[in-house]
Amino acid sequence: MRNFFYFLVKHATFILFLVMETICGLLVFNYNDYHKSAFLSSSNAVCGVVYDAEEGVSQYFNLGSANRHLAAENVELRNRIALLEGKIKAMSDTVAEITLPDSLRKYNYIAAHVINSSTHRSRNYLTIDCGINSGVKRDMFVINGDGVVGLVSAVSAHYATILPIINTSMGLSVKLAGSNYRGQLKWDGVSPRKAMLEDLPEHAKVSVGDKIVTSGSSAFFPEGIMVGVVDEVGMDKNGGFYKLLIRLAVDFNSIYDVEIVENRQQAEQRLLEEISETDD
Amino acid sequence: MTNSSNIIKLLLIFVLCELTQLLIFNNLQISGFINPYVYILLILTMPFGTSSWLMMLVSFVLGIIIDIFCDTPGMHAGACVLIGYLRQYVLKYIAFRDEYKSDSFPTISIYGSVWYVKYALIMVSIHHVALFFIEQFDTIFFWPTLLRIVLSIVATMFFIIISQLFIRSKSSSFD
Repeated sequence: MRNFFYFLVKHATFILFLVMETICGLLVFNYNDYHKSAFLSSSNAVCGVVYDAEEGVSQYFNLGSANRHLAAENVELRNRIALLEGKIKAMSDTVAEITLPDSLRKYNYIAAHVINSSTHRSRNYLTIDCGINSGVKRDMFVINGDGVVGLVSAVSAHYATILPIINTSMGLSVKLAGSNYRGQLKWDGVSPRKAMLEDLPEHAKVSVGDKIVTSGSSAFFPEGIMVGVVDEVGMDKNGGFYKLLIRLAVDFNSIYDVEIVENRQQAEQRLLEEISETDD
Repeated sequence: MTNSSNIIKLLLIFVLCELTQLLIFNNLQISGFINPYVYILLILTMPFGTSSWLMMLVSFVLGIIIDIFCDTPGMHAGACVLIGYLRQYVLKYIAFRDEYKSDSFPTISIYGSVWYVKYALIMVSIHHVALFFIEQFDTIFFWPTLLRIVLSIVATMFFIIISQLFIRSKSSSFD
């Protein structure tokens, strides 16, 4: 016993070193669990305030391009409203005027700003300036004018962390626009502008420039949201499936305005999915 | 120089290192391959006589704050504790012809630029190699990671040496 204590005292520094590295190792390997806690992620209040202050200064440098982007989006939305109004007018001759109750509105949008983002790591995260107080909850999906951004992973009162599609631990079910051929979008950690699409069956017709949209097979993302376009077509080594390189619609290097989308029927959809799973 | 003024000076460097890293250097993502981590300057500038346990504790706190802001729990802290622990051996390995004075700081102005570049390069290299491999351990891209490490070491060294020029001009005007 005395020898043991002697050993401890003699190697105290090295033992402390091992203990501290073990703590760090545990933090690293339990990575995904810690991300659910707002405290250990950048959505905690202190980080939020610091990043908010930084964004307050740096946003002025991007205002020009952000404005042009929003103006372009406005024009597109106005065009779509005009198209829909035209359709409604054409239909109103045949159908009596209908008023839709608000509860039929499936999605609710919350506008937010990205106050911190990373693009060069294999596990990237974004921090936004909206939290529980603005109605943001975990697992809500996030888009911007260009397409899919990611999912909300941790929320505090005023801030939230987003798991973007350019994070190697994120998988997204997507499909070829205008068809029902589905595949899995995976980010390989190389370029923030490109991602891989796997498991798309080889009898689907794919060519460079084809649009890839969300498949809607999970309760998180609705169907048909823009993800990107096919950049390179290749085949899986084992055959039977495509291996496509996708050019992502969202530019994560200059991301600023995002919208958090609340699926008001998500609880209902997931409850149904759980019931059918337990039935199996 | 009294001990308490040293502590205040080090606390100031601590805050400065964290803030410049988070607000400036983290945003310098030149082509995505150059990510300088200049905040470890604090670990480099702790006085020679600092005990190992204090060295590791300071390194851990320094790293974990960066981790929380960057959403990388444990990664920076792990790499920092490693160089915090290894610092005593690095100092011994590149020992100057005289003994180090335990209350003095390892700066370029006291021990010369050749010694300092050697010292900083070893410490920065260990930190960056450890950090980048912990960060990318689940991806299989060895060569891009290696390129990232080398370019980032060069960038970090550049900024650390520039910071030393500031310290030198300051100390010569105050001493």
